[in-house]
Amino acid sequence: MPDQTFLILVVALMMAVTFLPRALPLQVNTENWPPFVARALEYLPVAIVAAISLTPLLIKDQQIQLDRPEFYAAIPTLLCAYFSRNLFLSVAVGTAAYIALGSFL
Amino acid sequence: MSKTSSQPLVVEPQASRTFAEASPVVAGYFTVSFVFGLMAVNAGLPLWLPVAMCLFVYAGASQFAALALISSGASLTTIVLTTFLINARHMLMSVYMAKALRALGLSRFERWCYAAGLTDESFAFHSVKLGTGAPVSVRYLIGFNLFCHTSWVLGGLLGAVCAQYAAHLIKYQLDYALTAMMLYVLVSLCNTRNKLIAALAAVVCMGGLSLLGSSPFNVFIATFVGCGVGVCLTKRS
Repeated sequence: MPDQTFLILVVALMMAVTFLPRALPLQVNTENWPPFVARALEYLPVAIVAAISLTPLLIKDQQIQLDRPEFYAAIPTLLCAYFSRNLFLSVAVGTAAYIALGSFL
Repeated sequence: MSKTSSQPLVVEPQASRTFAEASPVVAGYFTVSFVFGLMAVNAGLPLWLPVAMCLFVYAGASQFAALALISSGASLTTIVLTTFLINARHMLMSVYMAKALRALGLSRFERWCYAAGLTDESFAFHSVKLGTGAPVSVRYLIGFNLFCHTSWVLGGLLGAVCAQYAAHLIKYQLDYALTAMMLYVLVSLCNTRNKLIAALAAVVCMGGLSLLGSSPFNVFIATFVGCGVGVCLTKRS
C-alpha cells in the first residue's frame, strides 16, 4: 500500500487540477465578447453532451463495437426520452434494459 | 443570502423542490461513488482516501482512473496529469456558464462555489434548465450542486465502509443510470434541427478521433466542430 504522505499529496494535487479548470473560466468577464462567440456557445451544451455520452456507447478500445449491452440499451432509452419526455421513466427503462441485456449477451 | 433578506418578495425555490429536481443525479452519483468506495478499499487503500477524493476532487472518471493508477504504482506526476487531462473538458462548460449565468449577476464568491460543483451531469441539467427560460436563482444552482456533491461523498463513504460485505454488489451495474440520464438530457437539448445536426457532427468527429486514438483533447475538437457546424447553420437560416 502506498504511504500516507503520497496519498495526501495525490488528493491535494488532484483537487487543484480539477478545481481550477472548473473555476477560472467562470471568473472571466463575458460582457465584451463578440456576438459570434455567443452564437457558438449556444451549441456548446448539445455538442459536448453528445460527444461525451454517445461516443463511448459506439466505440471501445479504438474500434466500433456495437454488439454490447451499453449500445443496445441506449436505443430504448433514447426512444423513451423522445416520446415520453420523462426522465425517471427513461432512466428506469435504460437501466432495466442494460441489466436484462447484460445477462443475455 | 443578503439579496434574499433585502428583497423578501423574490420567490426562492424551496430546498425540497431543488432536491426533487436534483434527485436523479443524487441517486446516480450515490450508486457510482458507492462502487468507487468499494473498489478503493478492496484495492487495499485506507478508508479515508475514497471519502477525501469524493469530497475534494469530485470527478467521477478521474477518480476511477486515479484508483487504477495508484494500484499500479504510477508516479504522482502521471496521476495528476491524467486527472488534469480527463477534467480539462470542464473548462468548456465553465466558459459556457460564465456567459449563461451573467444575467444572474453572481458574486465572485458565488462563482467559486458554483464552480466547485460543476460536473458533466450538473452542467447538462443546468443548461437544459437555463435553455427553457425558466427563472433560475443562484441558490437553486448551488443547492442543486450541493445535494449532488453530498450524495457523492456519502456514497463513497458507505461504499468504503461496506467494502468487505458488499463486494458482490458491483455486478448489479446500476451505474448505467448515469448514462441513461445523459441520453435523456441529450434528447432534451436537441430541441431544434440545427442543434440535432450540431450534436451529430460532434459525435461523428469524436467518433472519428476516438478510432484514431483516445485522447482527452478529442472532446475539445469535437465540441469546437459541433459549435462551428451550429454557427454555420445559424448563418444560413
